[in-house]
Amino acid sequence: MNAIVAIDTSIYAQRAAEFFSFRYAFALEALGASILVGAICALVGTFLVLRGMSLIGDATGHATLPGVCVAFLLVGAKSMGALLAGALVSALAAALLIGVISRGPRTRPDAAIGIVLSVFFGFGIVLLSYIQNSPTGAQSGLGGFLFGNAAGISRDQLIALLATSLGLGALVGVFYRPLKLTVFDEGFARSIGIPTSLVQMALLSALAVCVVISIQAVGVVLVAAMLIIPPSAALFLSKRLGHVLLFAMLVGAVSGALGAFLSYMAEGVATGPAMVLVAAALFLGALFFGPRGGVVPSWVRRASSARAIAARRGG
Amino acid sequence: MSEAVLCVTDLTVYYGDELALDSVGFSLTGGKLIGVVGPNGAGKSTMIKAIVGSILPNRGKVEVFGSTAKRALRRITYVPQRGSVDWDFPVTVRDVVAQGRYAHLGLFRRFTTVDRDLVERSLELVGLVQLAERQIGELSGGQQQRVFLARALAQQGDIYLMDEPFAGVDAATESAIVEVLRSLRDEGKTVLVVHHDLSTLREYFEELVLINRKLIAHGPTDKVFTPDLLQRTYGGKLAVFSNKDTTLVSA
Repeated sequence: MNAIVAIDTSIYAQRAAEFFSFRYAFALEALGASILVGAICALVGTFLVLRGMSLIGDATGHATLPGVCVAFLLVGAKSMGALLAGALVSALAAALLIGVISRGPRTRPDAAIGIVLSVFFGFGIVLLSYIQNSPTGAQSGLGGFLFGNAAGISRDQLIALLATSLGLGALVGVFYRPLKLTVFDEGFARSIGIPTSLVQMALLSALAVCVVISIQAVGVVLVAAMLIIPPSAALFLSKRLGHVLLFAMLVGAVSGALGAFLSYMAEGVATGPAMVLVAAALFLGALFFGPRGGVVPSWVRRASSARAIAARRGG
Repeated sequence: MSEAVLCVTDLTVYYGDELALDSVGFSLTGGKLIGVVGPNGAGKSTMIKAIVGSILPNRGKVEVFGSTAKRALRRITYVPQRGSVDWDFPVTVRDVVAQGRYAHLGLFRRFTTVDRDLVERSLELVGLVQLAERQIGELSGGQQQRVFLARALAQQGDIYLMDEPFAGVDAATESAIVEVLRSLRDEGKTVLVVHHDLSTLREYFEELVLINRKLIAHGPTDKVFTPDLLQRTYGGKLAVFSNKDTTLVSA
């Protein structure tokens, strides 16, 4: 038992030293990609969470899988551009379909999301199994899309990811006022002439793009976690949307960095789950210690006001 | 008779197959406090939303100072129902009031000293200066209603459309809000208020709009606040007790 522990630690120390030597390009690229993905998902995710559309993020994530597979089958080889284009098409199709089904009679939005998520994902898994059982598909590495494989991200892909993230960030910056107002008070936003349906569509498109550029690193199954958990943590930290956005991106980036590191340390652990666990730990920290409604600060406040009341009664 | 500030014609809204508002039309002049009265489901909120452009009517026309241009319609200020937003949203009281300036600033223009002064003055008028840095969820219902009113004041419109500003508000806040509305009227603004408490109608409003999907009546309170018209508005679900001077009503 002791011997095993000793062996393990020495391996981990060696791996940690490797990781932080930054000698390996793939480790660096994985780190950069995970940080970017964590931050950009948090940025888009904050608006989603505040609008009560978290589960649409989940559905769009799962819904990218059939697109990736269909693109692979059509192109015949692994061309990342084609795969991501496929992912984007099926993510948008899913978002559209959710809208159509929930507008119809007798199907509530949450049910529509559940239907679309599971059907798209189920179809994606069928295609993926087919591909992985075929001679060309077995080495395709498409399996990495399920739970994420940041180490598989090339330098060019990292640059594309950076450019897209900056683009999304700039869009949020430019349209910050209409976005904020549409999410907070749609009726008032419309009354001052903001085209809120357009803003809503833009937000969904930004979501689809964000999900698509993230699935290589975190995977289609868990991308929703990076959209939802960092913003949920940040909401405990500030009463201003601007600060919430920054905190969310920070939590996302840290989760990305530590997730990439942990995934490197524990060989065989996919990047996505590692990132999600770090994000969850940070969320727990915020839930307990966050100044805005965290468990401990609320408890302290209640206790001190109870003391004040008791003191007043006594005096 | 002064010129019409707000003129609504043939306003019709369907929700799916259901007719929520049936060809409502009226014309309002400036410097008036006007109450909108009708039973639940009568389309009061729908009418307000259609006028401010929060929902798109199926038919009808809204004119401000005789114009249907977007710029003219921006002179309408909307105070939504308090229940329509998430009060847990990460935004402070001052930030919400500042939203009133967005209509004039567009995407990029920064807040000038004029904008900031208007925000501060609006906070003062509703008595929320001390609470300006609070997150909006920390306020009481009455204070939240005053935040919405302050946002409308900061917007500096000519016409104010308010959806149940007195819902869930205590008596002190109600009279504070009424004071603000009266001073708006005295500045020559037009203030249209959806109101539920029939006992204060006479006291607050010099004109009434009675609706129940259709327009039942529009005119000076003395003329239209009659048992007969109220019966028609509320469709017999109303008991009216009359004696010489007062009319006691309960819905």
